[in-house]
Amino acid sequence: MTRDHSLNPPTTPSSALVGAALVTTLLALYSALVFAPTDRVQGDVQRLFYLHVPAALTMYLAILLVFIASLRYLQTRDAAWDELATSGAEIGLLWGTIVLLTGAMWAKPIWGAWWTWDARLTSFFILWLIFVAYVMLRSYGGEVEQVARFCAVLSILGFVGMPITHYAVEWFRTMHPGPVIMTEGGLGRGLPGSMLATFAFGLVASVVLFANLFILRLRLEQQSRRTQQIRRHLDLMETS
Amino acid sequence: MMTNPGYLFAGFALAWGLVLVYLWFLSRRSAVVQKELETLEQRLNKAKPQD
Repeated sequence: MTRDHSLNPPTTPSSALVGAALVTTLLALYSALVFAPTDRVQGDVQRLFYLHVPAALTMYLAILLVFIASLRYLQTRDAAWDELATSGAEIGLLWGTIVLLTGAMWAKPIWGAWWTWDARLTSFFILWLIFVAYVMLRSYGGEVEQVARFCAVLSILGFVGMPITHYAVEWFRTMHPGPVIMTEGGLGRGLPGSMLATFAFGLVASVVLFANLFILRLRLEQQSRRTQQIRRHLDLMETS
Repeated sequence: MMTNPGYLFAGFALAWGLVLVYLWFLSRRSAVVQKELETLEQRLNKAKPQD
């Protein structure tokens, strides 16, 4: 992997990516709150679908990213892959927290409870806890390479848990609704066109915002590790 | 008229609130790293042999 090895590299994403995040976010918010029709059964609270489901799919993307970066780290021991995994896991945890909170806000008026221990919710909670453990392990510190190895193993566990969470609604009897995007009838057959378009805007906005935060976090991780290296080097220089 | 607007807006507000808090958290961590880099640059300049 190639990296910017200057002492103080840029720390923000390109203005095009930031602009794309602003435009897609505004479009997604307008679509979700104004453009999309009101659900006849659930009412307006169903509009949380356009935030909840894109956030869940973006978290899956983060899990895949962290898994690939962790595998490459275990193969190559190149710290750049570990930096990618660390950054992806933290943003993935943020998206997972959004999924849990919006899910609770949706569940209370529809199910009459904030939470239920059904297969989908429980497996997602375990997946979320794996990423909490990942981030806690990172902040604990310790020997850098050992922590990176442990975290890589945790991310593999998370990747294994992802299909279990996703298919839990098909394998088990759950309160959580089944798929409406990828149905047996075909992609998007479970939703009217205007709802599907709003979902697509939400998904694009979620992924673009994820990319922005991921780049910010990655640059910070790279700077932080470079700072530690320089400090160690200077300490050695000054003591010799 | 909207049905259950409280839960809908609480959901959106919590999600955006979390993103904003995270951005603030990142900017604080970034400021700490920047400050440390400046200190290290000063130390590096002092450690360099003078011409």
